Amino acid sequence: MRTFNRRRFLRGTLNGGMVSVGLPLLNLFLSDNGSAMANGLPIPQRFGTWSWGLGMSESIFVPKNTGANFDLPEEIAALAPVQEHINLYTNFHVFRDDAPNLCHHSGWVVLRSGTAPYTSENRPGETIDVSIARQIGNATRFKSLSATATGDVRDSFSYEGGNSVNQPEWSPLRFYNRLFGDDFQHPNAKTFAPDPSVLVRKSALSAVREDARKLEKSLGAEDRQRLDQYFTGLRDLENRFDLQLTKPDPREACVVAAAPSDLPAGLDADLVSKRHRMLTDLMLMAVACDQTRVFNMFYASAFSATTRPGYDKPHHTATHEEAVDDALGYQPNTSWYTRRAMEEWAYYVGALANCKEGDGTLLDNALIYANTDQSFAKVHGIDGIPMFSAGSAGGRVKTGLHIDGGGSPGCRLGYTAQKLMGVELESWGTKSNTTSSDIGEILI
Amino acid sequence: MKFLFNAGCRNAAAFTLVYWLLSPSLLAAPTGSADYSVHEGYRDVPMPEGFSVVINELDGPVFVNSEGKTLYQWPQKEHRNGYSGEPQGSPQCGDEVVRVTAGLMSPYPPGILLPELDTRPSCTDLWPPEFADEQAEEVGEWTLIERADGRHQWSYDEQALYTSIRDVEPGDSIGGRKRRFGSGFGRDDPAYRIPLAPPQNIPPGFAIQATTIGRMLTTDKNEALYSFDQDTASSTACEQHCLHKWQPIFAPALARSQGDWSILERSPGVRQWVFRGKPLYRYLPESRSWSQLGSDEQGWHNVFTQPAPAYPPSFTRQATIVGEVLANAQGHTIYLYFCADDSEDQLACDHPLDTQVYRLAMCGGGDPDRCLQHWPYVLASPDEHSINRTWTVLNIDPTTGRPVREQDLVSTEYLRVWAYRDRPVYTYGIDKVPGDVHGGGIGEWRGQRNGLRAFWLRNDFMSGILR
Amino acid sequence: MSSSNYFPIKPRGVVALCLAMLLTVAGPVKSEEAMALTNGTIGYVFTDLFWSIYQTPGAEECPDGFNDGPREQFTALFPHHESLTVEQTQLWQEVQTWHPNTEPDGFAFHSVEGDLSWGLNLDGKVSDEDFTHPEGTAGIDNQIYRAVGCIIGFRGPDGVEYIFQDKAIFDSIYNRLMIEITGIDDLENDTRVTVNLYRGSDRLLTDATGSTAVAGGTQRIDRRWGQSLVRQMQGRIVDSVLTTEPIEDLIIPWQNLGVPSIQLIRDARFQLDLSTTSAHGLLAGFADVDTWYYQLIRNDSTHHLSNGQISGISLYKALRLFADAYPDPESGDNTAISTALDVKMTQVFIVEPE
Repeated sequence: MRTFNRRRFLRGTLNGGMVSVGLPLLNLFLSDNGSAMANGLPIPQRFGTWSWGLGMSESIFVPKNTGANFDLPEEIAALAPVQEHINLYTNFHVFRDDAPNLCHHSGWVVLRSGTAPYTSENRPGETIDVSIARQIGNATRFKSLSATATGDVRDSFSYEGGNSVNQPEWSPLRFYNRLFGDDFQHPNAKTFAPDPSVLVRKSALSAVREDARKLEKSLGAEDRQRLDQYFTGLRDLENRFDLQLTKPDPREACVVAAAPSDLPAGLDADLVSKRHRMLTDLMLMAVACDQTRVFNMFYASAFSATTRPGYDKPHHTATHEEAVDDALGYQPNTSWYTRRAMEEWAYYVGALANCKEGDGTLLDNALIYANTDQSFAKVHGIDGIPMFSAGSAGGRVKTGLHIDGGGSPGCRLGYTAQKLMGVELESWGTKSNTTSSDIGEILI
Repeated sequence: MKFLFNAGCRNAAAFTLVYWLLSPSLLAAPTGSADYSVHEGYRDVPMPEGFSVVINELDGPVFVNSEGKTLYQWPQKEHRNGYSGEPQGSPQCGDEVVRVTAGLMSPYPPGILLPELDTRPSCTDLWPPEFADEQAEEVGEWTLIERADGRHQWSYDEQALYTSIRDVEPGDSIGGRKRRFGSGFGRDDPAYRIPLAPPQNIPPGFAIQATTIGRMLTTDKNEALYSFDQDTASSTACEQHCLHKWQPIFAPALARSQGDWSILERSPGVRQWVFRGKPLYRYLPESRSWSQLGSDEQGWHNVFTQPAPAYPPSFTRQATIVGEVLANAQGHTIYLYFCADDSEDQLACDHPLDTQVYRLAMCGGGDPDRCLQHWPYVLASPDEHSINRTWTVLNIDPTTGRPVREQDLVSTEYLRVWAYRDRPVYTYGIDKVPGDVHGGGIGEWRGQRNGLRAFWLRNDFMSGILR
Repeated sequence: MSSSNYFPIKPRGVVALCLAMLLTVAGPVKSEEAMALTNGTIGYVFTDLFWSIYQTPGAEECPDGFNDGPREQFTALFPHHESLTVEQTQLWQEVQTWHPNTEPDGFAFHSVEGDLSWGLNLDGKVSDEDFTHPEGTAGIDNQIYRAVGCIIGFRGPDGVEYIFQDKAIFDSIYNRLMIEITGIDDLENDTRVTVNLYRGSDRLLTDATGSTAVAGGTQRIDRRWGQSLVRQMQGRIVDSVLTTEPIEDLIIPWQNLGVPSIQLIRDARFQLDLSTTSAHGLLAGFADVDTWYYQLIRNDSTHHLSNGQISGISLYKALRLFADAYPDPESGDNTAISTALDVKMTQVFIVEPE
């Protein structure tokens, strides 16, 4: 039955407000063998970015071996569960020509825009996600979505031309509301967007129950199971929200409950992790439901102030102030922060890899581009900034590889990614970052 | 309209472009005291009843409440060790007196007792929330936030609004200030309360930067814009060879004139933006943002939406190895003092009515006499008086740093000193000759949190004119 | 009859002959390198500059280890800071930093105890306080090294000042010093040359990485703001090494974190190995102590000093202790301290501004 063929949302109301819940790619929407859409078009490809701050400790980050089945040094040991899904790129360089080395800035700007900046206040061009969104983001509700685990709305590596930043979602609760509440409301209308805290407690699903029942009648067993899993995941996320929200004192039942608040502000590594994972799960839902095909996740900023319990220096301060341990050959506390980042990268990739879609997973139909701002942050080094990719972009990219760039431009990965996403490019980057050489080792 | 403003910068920019291209009929003359010929224009937006826009001589148009008090936001700010300020929808400025440091700026730890706790104000003592009355109705970007005590506070774009007890006259922005630009320059600044301004009335592709020499018009890439004496609104003298150095700022085909902005058709189909009767250019040889290099060329001038308030006539300009600096009559560099504590509520300590503990420590190790040697006040002569809201003459007790009340002038020794935004300005005792700038960056965080910064009028190497 | 009978010289030989004739008429072809030296003039721009720190792999010159910085001193002084006030702790430490004195601070300061140092014999004497050059020259005056050599921020490879003060020389146009040597008859040996010091106005010409300057760039002299920095000194070149006569003072514009500050070097002189593409060696003299100190702390503030474990409070006392020149006429205390800086330069064409 094709009643829901074109409508990918369940709709309903809650407390007078509109609620919509996107639907994942069910078999209902696909061809018989699950390898294409029902109308014959290919399953849409997605592009994502992921960012972490302050580079790596090279001696314990860069594997000794290249190619498949590469070793995982201790700083990236957390990637073991997702190693098969990722590629690691090392010994690729960022070229500045006559531009200064702007600390915590030049590195990521080149890798995201192809051009070395001359000043900290200007972005020399649009970032790669914007170029790709122009290609693949026009058919979805959101041309792109960005989120930051730092809680700071200014933390973004996504820029339009000029200095126009694509502001990220910084609050899981607000992001949830944006995705499931209806933002097409006139602000002064009598019906209003439901309070997200209420939405979470009562569940967006309760609002769309009627619509969901209608849908289920037309689904096969596998789709019903998939839908059930999706709803379970959404409800689980709502329950996690509910646990985070402050609750009124039950002894003061007569007092009107104060509005519950979002996750607290702060950069404790555990809190950042919590925020990152909630935002990842929400982003995953948005992508799986085809609300967007371009999505950016920002784990930590270039001046990352993530803190570690019991240690008096946040990440950035530690990179400059902590001495390299003579015996270990690296900065142990600084490395601790990098290891936390790698755990989150593993979570992010794993979340995409565990999301079934058609005859594969969401990650199979995506390419994620991940980078940082420095290589050795202590000296603001940018030679050999490490990068990752994840996903096979519809079976066109090999994964599980460690690629040594041999000193070639890091922009080759961005160039490769854009070509895979269908952007017509003769080359990408400017001056010495210009490249028309894709990373052939990863292409099938 | 709310959707467009809420859907991110991209959509807001798209809206702005449409606004400028296609709808001149919507561009009604603004209400309030805006005067396009002299002051910076702004875009009319709906406001709650009683609110209005006043032109501030430093900060341009600002929103004020029904009593004329400037409205401020306190946006969240990242410090070295965490955040202060307020995220959207979440007022953090409370009624309780904060008693200890927050450790937001390394290397000092949190938990240290703040100075003068017996008289330390709470955040809301200094920054009263702008409460809404019971009948208040939300309009446009103006919404209501419920505070922890259940009262409703006005917010704009979901940032809670406050006034400052330091503001005296309508439209004053003495209490707060615009933050200096972004991450590179303003990273170690305190979390300032920022005057709330209506949307700027500039076409897409432009920006306005607050500087010590006025509100500078730039491209959205922060490139300075210039005008040429010999140009008029309908003609240009910059042709051929001139264009090797000066690039006209082109207007899109559908752009229309409005207010201060008009279009000059240089040649068929080639349209150039004109601001207040002068075609706009950028100077190709310069690479720095907010530059004044082009103004060295005969007949060329930086463009401002609003000039800076005049400084005292006795002051001078002195050349240094960086650029030009404001100096007193003797040629000694003038410095501003900046101070905010390292607490959750980031209270200022640079106004004469704030705690003087920080200043006295930094200028003289707690000794007022040493302070007078190291950081002498800039004295006003008997025939000098306040000339505008920005440059005022204060009567200061040099032993305490506090203002002396009128009724105490007879009985108290005081100095008549020049002040910028009601905060005394200083010279630096080590500066000996005109052009010396040895006091710049003295103090905590390069003078940004308890120290001195030179009053640059031109700085060709660092962005010293930003404010 | 074959054509070769009519051309006893083969075509290749004809070409070679023509070329030889041309060369004879035109004179020797000048290489690009040789063009760097034109009309007896060659210019160099500073690309690297930092205090000469002699280090051994095991830091033997610091037998007592490295010095503590502000964070460690704060912890030691105020273990129970929660019961103290800002005035008693943070501001107390800031006052000691910004109004330094020579009174003991209760911390043992670890100065360099080795005998060896880079540098020059500035006063022509050999005294007990002097170092010996690793190549054997006695009487090396480099007391700055004695003061900062056991502070981790000043040591390579990754000390915070070692990296960032030097990086600023490369990156910042405010710091763009250059020398122009004129009156050169022979770049290898010349008994008298003149060295002019200017500030430049332009970015460096670099390779693709942006980290290495290449010869052949152009620098306009900053006559607008940098005229007061112009200096002239006399020198001679022996076996490609330029040495200059000391000049009364040399101002180095040197900002590394956005504060426009200077270093003041008295009796400043150069000792540079010259080639047509680069120069490297030493700039030595007596650094004004207060200028030296305040340049450091104005740019760094306590936070960045902390990154390098640099206690300004303790360091100032050491600077005053080891100061060895220019006594104050009233107090008799020396106000300047011997120093040497490692300097690297790249050849550049120096031009007047338009």
